Amino acid sequence: MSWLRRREVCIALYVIPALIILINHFTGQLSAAQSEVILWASILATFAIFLGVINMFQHHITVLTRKRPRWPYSIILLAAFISTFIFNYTYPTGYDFIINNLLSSLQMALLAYVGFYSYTLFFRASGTKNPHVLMLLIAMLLGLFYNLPMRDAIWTGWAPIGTWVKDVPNTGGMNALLIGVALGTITLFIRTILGYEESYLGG
Amino acid sequence: MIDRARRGIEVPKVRKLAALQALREVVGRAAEQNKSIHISTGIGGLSDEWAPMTIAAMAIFRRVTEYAGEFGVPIKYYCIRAHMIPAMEDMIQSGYVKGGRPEMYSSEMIEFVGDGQQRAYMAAVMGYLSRERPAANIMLGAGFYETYIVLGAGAVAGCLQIAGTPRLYYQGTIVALSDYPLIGQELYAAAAEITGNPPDLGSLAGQDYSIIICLILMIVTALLATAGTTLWSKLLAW
Repeated sequence: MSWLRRREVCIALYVIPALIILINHFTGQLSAAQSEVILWASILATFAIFLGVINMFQHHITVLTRKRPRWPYSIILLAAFISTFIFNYTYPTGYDFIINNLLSSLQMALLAYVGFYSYTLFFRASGTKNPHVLMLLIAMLLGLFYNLPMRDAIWTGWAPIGTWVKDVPNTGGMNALLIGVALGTITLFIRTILGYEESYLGG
Repeated sequence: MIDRARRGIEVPKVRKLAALQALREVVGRAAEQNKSIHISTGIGGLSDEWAPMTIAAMAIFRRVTEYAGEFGVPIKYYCIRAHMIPAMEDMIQSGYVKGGRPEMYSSEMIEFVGDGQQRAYMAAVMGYLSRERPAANIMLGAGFYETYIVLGAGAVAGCLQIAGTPRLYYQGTIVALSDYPLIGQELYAAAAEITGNPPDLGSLAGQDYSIIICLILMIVTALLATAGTTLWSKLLAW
């Protein structure tokens, strides 16, 4: 079975489904094959989750057995995983309680970090000597004043300046970036289907 | 262009990206400080629309793991896509082997946090950055709003940061919060440049010619639209 580990076989397993999807996108002639490929991908991805669960258990059981620092957190994680898994199949009310009252609240709390780190970004940017970041900072300030509810009470000039920044340099810059990114993606895809790019295979 | 470069007819010279030149220095600095480095391939995997970004990130991390092996620096990778585990395990292990320190590799370097669970990922990485204070935080690939949080936590922890994503919404964030940003298509360019293979460099030249063609088309279209003809808009609609 060593031929299965040959790089050419692995590259072919990536390239052939990619070509089927690409050809179908432009011609519509391989829709049955495309559906089949997507179905196989879904099945493989589902089985891949087992790999993740094994990795998680291995890691936390090692932490527990070797009494690594912060080992009690591993007990909490494993207990949370097992109880959520069991409740999902045996006690839906308990599962809903975990999702709605514990998980959602914790996730909302994490979301709040975006606000805090936006200020980190602002302060870090304000201390730089890089001219590009200075431009970013000026654009951020213009955007800030443009979106203020009381902007017209401060100065009526914010609205036309903000609209111009948004519609002209911002749209132009974003479109230019988008074209570059699209061409970069196509180039990478060409390298991949020709077999030059194989980093997705690992080492 | 790829074929011409492969045959050695014309191997293009490419501009050196600061982030790539800094990679060795960043890993070396981690070795001097006796600290680890954190790497992230973003939220995307290899089976979604973000796959090209993940592949580009992996091409760069292949070199990072080799440097880590050479300098004896531990790596930490939090995994958000289960199918990435074997690929990254193989990459990190091979990197240590190529770098001459195969004994340094440990399966604990890769930690799964839940498939597609962005908040769990953020919590795990923030905790790691604030506890361990690694020397460097390298975030490449498809970045979503965790880019703010992870780069913010890295900045607070004093990490030297390299970040790059082609996703448009986060260009400002990576420019402001990282020491060596890779903006827009630079991530793809870096993935080709880091190998130094002529076909990869040739593909970059081909990409540049495509950009020139796009620019010419844009100018011609703008001029024709100003003149009042709808020929180009009909062609482009096709």
